[in-house]
Amino acid sequence: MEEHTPPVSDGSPFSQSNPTKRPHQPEVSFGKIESTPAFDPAVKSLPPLSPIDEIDRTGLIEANNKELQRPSAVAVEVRAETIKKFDSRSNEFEWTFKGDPEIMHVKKIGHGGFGEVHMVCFE
Amino acid sequence: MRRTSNAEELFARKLMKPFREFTQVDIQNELRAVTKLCRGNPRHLVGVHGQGQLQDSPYYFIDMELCDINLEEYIYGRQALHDPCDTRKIWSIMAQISDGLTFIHNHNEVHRDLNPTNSFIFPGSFLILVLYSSEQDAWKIADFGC
Repeated sequence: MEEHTPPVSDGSPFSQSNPTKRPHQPEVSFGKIESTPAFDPAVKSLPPLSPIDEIDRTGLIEANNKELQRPSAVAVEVRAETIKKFDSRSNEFEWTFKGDPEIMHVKKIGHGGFGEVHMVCFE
Repeated sequence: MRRTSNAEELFARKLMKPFREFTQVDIQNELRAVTKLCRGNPRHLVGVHGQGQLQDSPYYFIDMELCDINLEEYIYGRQALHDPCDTRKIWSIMAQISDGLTFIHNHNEVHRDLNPTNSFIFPGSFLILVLYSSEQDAWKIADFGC
C-alpha cells in the first residue's frame, strides 16, 4: 500500500499545499512561528551586532578625541609653519640694526619677496 | 624721514634692498606712495612712522605700526577656537578692507599684493583672538606701497 505524504508547506501564500487560497488573502496563524532550517545558516553567518549604546559611546569618544585634538593642532601648525618659514631664511638685514644706537632689534617677524620685517623699538 | 612716535614703543621695520625685478626705482616709488597715502593717517591703512634710506648703503626701511595678527591667522585662529566669525563680523571686516582699498585707489595708486597676510587687525595682539572681538576692531591694509 502506498503511503500518502502530505506536501510540505513553506508558509507562502503561493504554496501548492493550499491551492484554493487566493494570493491576496492574508494568512491567519494562531500557532508559534518557527524558523525553518533553510533560514538558519544565513542568520548565523551574520556577525554579531553590538548593542546600540556601545556603538554610540564609541563613536562619541572618537569624535570627542578628534575635536579635542583639532584646535591645538591647527594653532600649533599655523605658528610652526610661520616660524619655520622665517627660520629657513637667514636674517639678511639684521646687521643693519647693529650700527644704529637708537634702535633695539627684538625679533624678525616677516619675510617678503623683496625684504624682511623686524620688530624693533627705540632705546 | 625719521619716526616721530613715542620712545620704547614697539614698531615694525620693513627693510628692502634692490633685487632683480625689484629695482631701486621700484623701492623709491614705494616710498613715494607710502608718503602720499599715509598723509593724514587714514584709518584703514597701517600707519607709517617713518621711512628712508639707511646711511651709506643701498638699503631702505619703512617704520610701521606693529600689528601681530593678520587676517589669515585670525581666520584659522577663530576656527581653532570653534568660534567662527558671524556674518555681521565678516561684513565688517570686508567693509573695512574695502574702505582701505578705495582710499588707495582714490589716490591713484594700486595695491598689487592684497591678500590675507597683508590685512591686519589693530590693536594687534594675539590675545584678541581669545579674550574678545569687538565691532570696534580696526582692520588695516599693509604693504600698500609695492
